[in-house]
Amino acid sequence: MKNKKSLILVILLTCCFGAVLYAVKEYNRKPESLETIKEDFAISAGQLIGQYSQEQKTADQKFLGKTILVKGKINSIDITDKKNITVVLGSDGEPSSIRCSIDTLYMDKLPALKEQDSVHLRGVCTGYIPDDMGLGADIILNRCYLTEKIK
Amino acid sequence: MMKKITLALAFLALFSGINAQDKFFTKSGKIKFDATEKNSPENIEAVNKTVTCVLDTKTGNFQFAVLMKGFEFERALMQEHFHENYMESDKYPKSEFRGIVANNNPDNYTKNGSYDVVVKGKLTVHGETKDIETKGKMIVQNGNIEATANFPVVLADYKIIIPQLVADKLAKTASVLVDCMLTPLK
Repeated sequence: MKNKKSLILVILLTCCFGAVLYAVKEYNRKPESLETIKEDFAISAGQLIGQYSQEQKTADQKFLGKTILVKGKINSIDITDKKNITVVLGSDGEPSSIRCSIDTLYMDKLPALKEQDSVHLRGVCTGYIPDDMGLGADIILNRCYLTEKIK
Repeated sequence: MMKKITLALAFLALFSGINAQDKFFTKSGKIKFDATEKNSPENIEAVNKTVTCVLDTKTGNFQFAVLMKGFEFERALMQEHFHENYMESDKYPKSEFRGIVANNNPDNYTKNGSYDVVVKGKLTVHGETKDIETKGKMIVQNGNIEATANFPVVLADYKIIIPQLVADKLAKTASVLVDCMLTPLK
């Protein structure tokens, strides 16, 4: 009888310890790195722009918050400061572009890039800013990693 | 006739050129959001570095738009709660401000200096639009303008509901810091 009680106590304590350990781990969990994660969608820059230009709501339902591997040509590179680099995919004269904000943890590893380079970038889609300020429309990808650079 | 059309087109091009030079913009502006309750050991802070912002120096019109999913926290769980439970970022993906620099002086933007401004307008967050007025600064340096403002946002005004369980950790009024380095629109 005494042995049974002790066993139950040990099981209960183990469960409690496990629960506390899980809670602490979950609380301290960092956002997952996109360097190794598998993307939800792989799509060309033109196709992604096309889907957003056609019907924003449907595109948002499909892509918002999802990890996307986007393939396209660099139109420009915006460097606001050392920790804020954005690679813009699209073409001159087009009203829409894809703005890929590079992950700060990846900045040091980012190879030299220039306009017209063909690249594959993986990032999280945070949505679409329509052209209601006269600046062109943009699809925004955050925490981007360069997965491939094609000459 | 042809000469007149060419002249009109030239005038139009010149006129639109002047308009563009009045506008300054960025698509990489920063917004910091801090809803840390006083005395709470837990920092509830997020940053968004993909803010689109435009200022018309001639009229003082000032606008910015920010995608909610672009707010990043240090901890994943906090970020998930922010988007799913409080801001409902899937339902309300964008927040924006449309307003005017009340004491706008176009001459200030032509010379280096730091100028105090008052910005008034409508802020839309979580699908709710409210009038706001705040003080800010325009720092003009070498043809660029750094626009900064720090203002409080009462979460209840925007129907952002804080569950009782986390009420002691989350401030009822969040502090929002906008920092945009604006360059001339060509």
